[in-house]
Amino acid sequence: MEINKLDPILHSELRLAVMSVLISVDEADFTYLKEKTGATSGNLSVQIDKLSSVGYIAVEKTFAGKMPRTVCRMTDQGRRAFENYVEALKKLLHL
Amino acid sequence: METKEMTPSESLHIISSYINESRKDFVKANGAPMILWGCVLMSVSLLVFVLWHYTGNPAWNFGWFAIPVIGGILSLIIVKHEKHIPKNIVNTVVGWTWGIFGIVSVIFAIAVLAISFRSPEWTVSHNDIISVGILLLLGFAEAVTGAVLGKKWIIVLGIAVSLVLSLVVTVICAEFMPIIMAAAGFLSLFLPGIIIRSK
Repeated sequence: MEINKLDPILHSELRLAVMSVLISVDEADFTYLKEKTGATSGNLSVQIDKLSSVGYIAVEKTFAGKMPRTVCRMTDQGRRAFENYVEALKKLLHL
Repeated sequence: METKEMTPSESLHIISSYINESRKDFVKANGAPMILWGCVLMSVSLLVFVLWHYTGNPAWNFGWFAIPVIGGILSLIIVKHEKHIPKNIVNTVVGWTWGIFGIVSVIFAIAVLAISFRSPEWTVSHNDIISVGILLLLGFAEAVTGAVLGKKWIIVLGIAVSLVLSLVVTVICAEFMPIIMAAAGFLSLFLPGIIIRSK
């Protein structure tokens, strides 16, 4: 296994952070992900779009009262990709 | 946070640190409801004790039914002010466990009262039965909470408190039962809640 064979979508600091947060919860809103990752809104938004475009997360735009709310949830495909990524890392590190 | 490339060990470090951080958040989030319900149980218990002791009227025992009402209202207020934590299996199981404990406790108390009123020849104190039943249910709920949160000391505390206090109930005068319930509220809810919250 070589490092360049790791899933390029997940092998990025912020996207991996988002996926690591989402693996522990049923769903999380944009504000929570921003607080946890410490990312800027613009950067986080771009990375969420990337994860969503490959089907790793589902994004739902709703309203909390009158405020817009973006909710992210890991998909089954995302969960499988995350598990495969962790397994690949373990092989690379001989764990 | 940037979108830079990482080494495999950096990747694993990110994954484990975020998962651990989330876990800490979920454990900590359970502290506030435990403190709240512990305070409600202690307050109502001591109030029932004082009123019963100084008036000599055991009808003050119906004050116990104020616990779910007061606790429920205060919970709704606290939820609005607490930091939002997303749902996951941990807080879902803990929430259901305590919710079911509350419902079963109320039903159990009503059932015992109904049976004792229907059978006047029944000589066993319904206060004793209700107290022991609720203490055991409390210990069970706390042990499940400890298991889900991965805190062995909470499991041990839950079982120990419910068993020891249940035994104490069998030897003390019924009038002092509220003191035992206040002790249960302190040891099973308030104290673990404070410890969880402070870590």
